[in-house]
Amino acid sequence: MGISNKLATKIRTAAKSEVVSLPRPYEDAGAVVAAAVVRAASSTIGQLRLTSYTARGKDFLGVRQSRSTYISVVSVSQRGQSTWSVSLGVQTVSGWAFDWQVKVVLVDGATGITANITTPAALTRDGTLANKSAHGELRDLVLTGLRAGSLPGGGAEVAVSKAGLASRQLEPVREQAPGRTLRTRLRSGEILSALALVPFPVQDRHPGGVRWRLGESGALAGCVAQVSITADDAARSIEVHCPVQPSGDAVADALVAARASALFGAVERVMRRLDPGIERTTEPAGTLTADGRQGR
Amino acid sequence: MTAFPALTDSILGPILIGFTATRQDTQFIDDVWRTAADSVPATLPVLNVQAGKGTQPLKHQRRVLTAQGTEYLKLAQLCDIRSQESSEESWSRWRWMVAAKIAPDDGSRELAGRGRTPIRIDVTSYRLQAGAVVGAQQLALFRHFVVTGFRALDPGLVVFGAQHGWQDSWWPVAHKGDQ
Repeated sequence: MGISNKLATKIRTAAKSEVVSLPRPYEDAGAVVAAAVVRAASSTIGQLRLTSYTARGKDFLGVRQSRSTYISVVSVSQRGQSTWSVSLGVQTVSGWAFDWQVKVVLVDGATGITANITTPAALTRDGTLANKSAHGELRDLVLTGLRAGSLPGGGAEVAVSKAGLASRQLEPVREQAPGRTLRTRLRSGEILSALALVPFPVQDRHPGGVRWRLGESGALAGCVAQVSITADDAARSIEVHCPVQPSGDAVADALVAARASALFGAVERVMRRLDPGIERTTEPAGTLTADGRQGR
Repeated sequence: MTAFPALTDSILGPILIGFTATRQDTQFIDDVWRTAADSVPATLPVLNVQAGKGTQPLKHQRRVLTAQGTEYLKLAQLCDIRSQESSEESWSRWRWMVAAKIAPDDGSRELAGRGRTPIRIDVTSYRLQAGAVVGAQQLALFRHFVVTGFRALDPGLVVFGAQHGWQDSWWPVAHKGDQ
C-alpha cells in the first residue's frame, strides 16, 4: 500500500514541461495572460475550503494531528514576469507548514513558449500527497489555461475578491491628526509650485494656500483639508489643517484620519525636497505618524 | 489591440494607467505610492508568536509598507509589524504585495495612448483563506488611493483593468473578539 502510494505521489509530482500557445511577444502580451491563468487557477483552489495540518513527522495516535488542523491558506507569489509559486498549507509560529508547493516557470525560446511545472515541496502521509486532489487540479487548470493561450473567465478571481471584501475585519486604527505647521525659507510662489505636486484632488487654489479633497467617495467625499501660507520677515509658515468632526462610525473616522495624516506627510515631503532645512513646529499627537509608516 | 484583463470586481487583477508626465523624473510615482500607503488605515491583529517552547499572543500592527523594487519600480506590502523590530523582519511577514512599473511594451503604450506614460500595477503576491483574499480591504483601499493620487496629478488619467474604486461598506467590522 505504502509503496503504491509513494509511486502515485511520484507520478503526481513529476515535473511537466510542454510548449503552450501564449500570445507573443511574451513580455508584451503572453505574461498578462499567464498571470491571469495563475490567478484563476489559484482562486479556484482557494475556494475549495481545504484543511491542512501544522503537525509534521510521524503521528501514530493522530491526537496531535486532530488538534492541529486549520483552514488551508493558498499563497501565491510572482517573481518577474515568468515565474509563479503557488503553495498550500498553514502558517505556524515557526513558519510555513506546506502541504505542497507548485512552481510555474515560462521560458520564451526559439521553439515557442514552454511551461515548466514542478513541485519543489510536498508533504506525504503514508506516501500519499497531502491535499493531492487540489494539487492535481491546480496543475491541470494552469496547463489547460496556458494551452488555451487566452484570458480565462474571471469567475473564481472575482468570487475570492468579493468574499474578501465581505469578510468581517478588525476595526481600523484611528490616527489623531490635529494639524501640522512647517517653517520654510522658500518664497510663497515656490511653496505653491511645490504644493501642486501633492497627489490629492485640488478643491481650489489661491495666493494664500490650497484646499484639497481627501477623497471622492464614501466618508471621504466632502472632506476638505487646507494649507495656509503666512509670511514674516525671515520665513514662511505653512499650516496644514483638516477640520473634520468625528462621525462616530469607526471605519469612516479611521479613513478620514489616515487620509488627513497622509496629506500632511505628502505636503512635508514635497516641501522638504525643495527645502531640506524645513522645520516642523507642530507634531501631530497621533499614535502613528506618516513618516513612521515608511518601512524601507 | 492588446487583451488586458478588465475584471472591475477583481482586487487581484492588474491596473494599467496612462499618465501624462509633466516631469522627466519618476519622483511623482514615489509621491503617489507613499501617500497611498499612508492613506490605508492600520489594524491591530493579535497573533501567536514563539515564546520559549510555547506560544503567546502578541499584538501586531498590520499596515502597508513601501520599498523600491528591482524589476518593479515600487513595491507595497501589507505587513504584520512587531514593535521594535527591523523593517526587514516586518517585510517578511506579508499578506499581499502590489508592485508598479513603467510598462515599456508596445501593447501597454497602445492602450495608454500617445504621449502618455503607461504604468502597470500588479498584485504580485497574495493569500487566499476560506475562499477569500486575505487583507482584502486594505488591498482595495491601496489600489484606490494609487489611482486617486495619479488622477489628482493628471485629471485626464486613462485607467484600464481591475478594481480601483472604493465603497465604505467593503470594510464590515468584526465583533469584539473576532479575528
